[in-house]
Amino acid sequence: MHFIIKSLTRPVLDSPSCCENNHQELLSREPTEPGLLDQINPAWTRIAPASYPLLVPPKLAETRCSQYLQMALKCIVHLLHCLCAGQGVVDSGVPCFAPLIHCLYFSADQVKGILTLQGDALCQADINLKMPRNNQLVHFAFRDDKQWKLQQIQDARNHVNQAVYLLTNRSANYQFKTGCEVLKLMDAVMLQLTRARNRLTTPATLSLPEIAASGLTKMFTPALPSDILVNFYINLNKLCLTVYQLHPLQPNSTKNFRPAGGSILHNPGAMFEYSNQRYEVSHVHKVECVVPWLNDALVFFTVSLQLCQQLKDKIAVFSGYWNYRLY
Amino acid sequence: MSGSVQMVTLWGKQAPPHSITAILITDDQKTIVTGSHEGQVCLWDLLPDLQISSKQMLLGHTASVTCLAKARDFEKQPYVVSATENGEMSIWDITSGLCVENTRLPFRHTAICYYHSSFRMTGEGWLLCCGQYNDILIIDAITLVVLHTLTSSSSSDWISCMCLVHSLRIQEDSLLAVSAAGDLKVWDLSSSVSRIQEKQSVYERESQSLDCTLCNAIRFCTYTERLLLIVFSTCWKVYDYCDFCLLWTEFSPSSRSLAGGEILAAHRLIIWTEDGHGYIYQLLNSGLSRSIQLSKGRALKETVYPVLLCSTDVEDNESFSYIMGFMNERKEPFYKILYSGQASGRITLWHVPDVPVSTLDGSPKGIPVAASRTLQDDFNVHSQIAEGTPDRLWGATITVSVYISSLEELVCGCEDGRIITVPALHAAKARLLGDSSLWKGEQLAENFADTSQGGQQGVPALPDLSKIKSSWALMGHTPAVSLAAISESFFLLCLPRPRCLHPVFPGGLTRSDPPGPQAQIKPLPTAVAKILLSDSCVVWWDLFSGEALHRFALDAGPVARLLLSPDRCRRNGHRLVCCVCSDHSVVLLHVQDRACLLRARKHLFPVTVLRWHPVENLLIVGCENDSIYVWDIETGSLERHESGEMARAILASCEDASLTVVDPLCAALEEDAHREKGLGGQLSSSSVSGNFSCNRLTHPSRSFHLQLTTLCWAQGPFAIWPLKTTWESINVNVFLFDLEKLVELLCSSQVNGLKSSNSFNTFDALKRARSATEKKTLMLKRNRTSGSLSPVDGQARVASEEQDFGERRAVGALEQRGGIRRHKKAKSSKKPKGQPSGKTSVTAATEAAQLLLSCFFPWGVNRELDGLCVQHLGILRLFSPVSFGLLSKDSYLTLMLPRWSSANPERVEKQQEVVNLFSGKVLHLYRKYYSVTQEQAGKKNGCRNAAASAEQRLTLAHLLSRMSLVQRIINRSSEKASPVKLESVRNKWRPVASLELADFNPASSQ
Repeated sequence: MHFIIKSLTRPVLDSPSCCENNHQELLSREPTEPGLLDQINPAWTRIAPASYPLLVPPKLAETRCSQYLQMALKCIVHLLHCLCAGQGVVDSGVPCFAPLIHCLYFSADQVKGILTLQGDALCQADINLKMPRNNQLVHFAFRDDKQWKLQQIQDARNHVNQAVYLLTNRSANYQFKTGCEVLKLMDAVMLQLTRARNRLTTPATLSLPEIAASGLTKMFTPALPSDILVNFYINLNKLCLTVYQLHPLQPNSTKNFRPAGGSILHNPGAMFEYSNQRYEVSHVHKVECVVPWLNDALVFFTVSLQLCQQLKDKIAVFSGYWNYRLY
Repeated sequence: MSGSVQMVTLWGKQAPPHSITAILITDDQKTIVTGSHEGQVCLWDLLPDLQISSKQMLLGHTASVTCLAKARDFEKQPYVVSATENGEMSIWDITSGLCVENTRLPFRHTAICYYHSSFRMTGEGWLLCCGQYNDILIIDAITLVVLHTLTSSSSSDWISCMCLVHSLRIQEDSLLAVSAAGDLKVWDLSSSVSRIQEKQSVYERESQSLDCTLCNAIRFCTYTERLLLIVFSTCWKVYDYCDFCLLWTEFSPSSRSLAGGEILAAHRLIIWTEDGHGYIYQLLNSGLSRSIQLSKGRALKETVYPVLLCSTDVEDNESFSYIMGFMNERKEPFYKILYSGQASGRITLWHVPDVPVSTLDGSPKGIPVAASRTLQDDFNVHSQIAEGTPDRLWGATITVSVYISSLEELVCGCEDGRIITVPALHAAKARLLGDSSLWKGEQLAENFADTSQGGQQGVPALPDLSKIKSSWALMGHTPAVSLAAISESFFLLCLPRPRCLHPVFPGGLTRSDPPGPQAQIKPLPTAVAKILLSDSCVVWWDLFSGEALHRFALDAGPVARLLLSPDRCRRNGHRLVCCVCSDHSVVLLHVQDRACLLRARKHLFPVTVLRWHPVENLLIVGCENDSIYVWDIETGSLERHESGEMARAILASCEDASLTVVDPLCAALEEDAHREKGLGGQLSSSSVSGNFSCNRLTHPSRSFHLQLTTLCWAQGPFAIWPLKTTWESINVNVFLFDLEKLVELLCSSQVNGLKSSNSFNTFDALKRARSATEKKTLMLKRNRTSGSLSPVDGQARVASEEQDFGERRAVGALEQRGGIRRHKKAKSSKKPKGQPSGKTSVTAATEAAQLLLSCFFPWGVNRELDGLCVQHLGILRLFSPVSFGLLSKDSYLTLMLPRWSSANPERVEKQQEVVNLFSGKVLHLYRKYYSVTQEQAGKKNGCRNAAASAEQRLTLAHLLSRMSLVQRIINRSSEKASPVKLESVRNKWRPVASLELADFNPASSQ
């Protein structure tokens, strides 16, 4: 705790809205994939200061508000579609989250490998592991008939789909009647978006027996040695692979057995019991590689959330203005 | 732990917002259950003529309700389960409104199905849940523990809708579900019960892709056992259940997005849309039977086609989001009802005819709305009955009220900017009894803060606090800190002052007990109020002198919240005030230094967490999007902005230092609680408070539980609890009466102030009266004496069964009155235990007792009794019917809504006629008492007058002690017995309650 507080006092930051800068940067930089970024109208994301509506007489403000609302909603939907569609095809009108195939390369001292990520599933994996004890090279790959679903991406996709559905299930000429209605809609959308983003930014904390039982161990050919556990997860824009090397504890060992709880990454020395055998983690290898579209997705999440919040703030200002009574 | 707090809710004229997110009609078609975006569950009575009236509001959830489902076989136990956005689940008993079980799981459910297989399962069955997680969870219907999951072997995904299929033909219960990716999955249930119980994994029997996503409902036709209806948002499809071949796809009329559907009868469907339209289709089945016979021949599928028979009439479109359902009961007295709940809080019912037909020319026929109701409708009816309720007491609507617990004063903020302080008890009395003279009597003793007319820019001039004859009873040793919002931009904050500023000792102070020695030694604390005006300046008031001490200009948007740093976090010996403005800026004030320490303005998202680090002099602001801003208070500059992992780490590190800036009201109460813990020691509920305070930081809306628990033991026998839930505009006050504390106070005054002979005389009279009825008296004598001498302990001891059986025989005929009283008392179950403060004056206690009894007394049943109460006991007739509240498990709260029966006078009268048929014996018995006591009165008239008030107090005490006794019995039995048994127990104890009034009113009449 102390070192964190100490580090706080370092004057690190000058701009509070680094996310905004990210987006500016995203907008300004050369679009890498055609059709992804040139669809975003920068004007949509640049929104007038909050004090602006107060200067307008109520009637005018009302019409402007509905125009603004239409524009803002369109913009949010568009952003979400970009978020989904930017990665590839839009499938039968329903956006598909991350359907593109990505080849990802890992490289670390002990672990090297190639992974193929298709949508939310890892469809190919080729992993080379150098055993630290005898420098023996172990190679294992996914079986051809198996895919490993990355639950985090699937959940994020479902959340985004729900948000898009919430925004688009009204007919095109639907008129919002109250500001409260929009606020509720924005709350619901933001809830889904926040959850989608959190799903990507917070990997699940698994205990070692859960990893052992996850079925990932059964996906490889040749079969994984019994003293190796692997786990995949998404952390922010990175796909992480952790390889645990285990050594079984003797049943009559004098070592004090304390099973480890749930964690994203277990440390060497963590112990657990699985199918009546006690193990201790002897080595941990963690490798990660950046998934490019995840990076973009996170930025889109941030921008959409900001847009929603700005819309909410606007409406709050408006309703405060309209409800204000003179005494 | 048996608490003894009685609650009386004071609803205003405006109904609390209730935007419906889930709706359910119970199997007996007598109750509608709705869940709201605000997190409350509301129960509505559905009468046989399809009229709706609100019944109860169940509080306890802290997030939006996502789904409701029945949780038991409805005939056995009328339980309903609710699930929320943040993973809370609760089971409610909808007859009483009590929370039976609640839990919080890390799963968000969107649909729940109750499944029970009577011959394969022991226990009460399972809740099959789906939601924002993969596949199906099986949750135990009693304990709400996750038992197992139904997993899919391939393409596991979220389940968007499901339905249970009990097929007689196949002799197998199955669960049909459609995943978010559009895969139809079928799990066998009845054959896998044992596998589930043995925790073996259960995979789906079949899985098939439907090639269409956004599925909203799936229904199996139980009439033909052939058809499967699947409703997508753009179209609905009919499948043959046997081979899953598609029979028909019908796109939604006028491109409305479909929300759900149900099978009405064989080959008849009802489909409803997101915007509240319903459509009834007839599937022309001439070809269907052939297609089933030749089920292999797919060419025949076009022979099934739908014809639109009817569509529902829709009232003018109030809002978009409709949550709809259909109730299809085949038993005779029941209706086929299409029901919908709207975001605006309106419930609409359509009565679907048994045989829907189209009009003669073939165009669809309209089905009229059968009933429609909102909470506000009920409140309007109620307020018509209670016309003239002093709602606008000072000519302006009270927009906010704060109860200062240590002073027992209510501070009200009015719409026109005035701030008025009034003794809480008087306010309660005036409101409940509708006694406007009370208000006028207190008018002078109020602290007026008249604002002159606010300017156009919303800059009201400084209020002029001229008329001050404060009736502050200087009893509080612990300074009170509280917060309230006066409309959306006015704020009032009462701060503790370490030293006495302007203590006011008004001449007309009504204090009967001398101030304790402590109060004389210690400097009296002075409360200081602050007001915040709409141009967002904070004004610091001295509440006693009414003087505006300082004005802080914030240069920020309207203030949304005022927070106070906790007691242990001080700067120059004072606590800091933090203003969170609606433009997400944060202003840090040091009130005593009259300094504005920090204006932090760059936040993009609403502020959720505030941490102050006094050593480094940093303010850490956490926003809704999980980012944090670190501000240097010294220089006023932004030190750092972080998000994600780092933000969490920084917040967590500050949490260790416990520097959290919390809601001032809670903080103060917590403090009080801690202090009391230090002094009193024996606080049984202290552990509860600890838990809540931890929870509260992450779930601010949960804080009302904490408020309640702390209020109950920190206060005297009477308290006002401003209920703060997620309703922003509505201010609901709950009066809390602590029965045991009242009894104790009343009786202690008896022992101190009166000669004991007096009280014994009363008992002698009573004894004689009782013997005149030739009933069992011995027990009662003991009961009475013990009740007067050592009331609390005595009553507890007396709660033995044989005695109450005796009494039962004695006054079995009194049952009807007891029935009513029992009914009301059943509203109050487990309450946090009160801690006697010993500070409250007896007068206040007496008044509180009278008020409480006024609420509970069954007015209008017996005119003579009514008269007695009004004349001799000071129990006055209520101005309008009151709404009681009751607490259940884990401080879940049930509040009665303004009652329908009371709003319909003719119905009340009818009810009373019935009641009076039974009450003949009551009157007879009562007259016997009365004649005897009159004789007694004749003899002792001389000495009575002097002791009249004391005697009245004693009677009150006794009545209350009886109530608390009854309550304790109920609590004890309800803790032990299962709810079904409880009913019988209640019946058994009914005579006890009825006894109270019958045998004590005569005594008071002497």
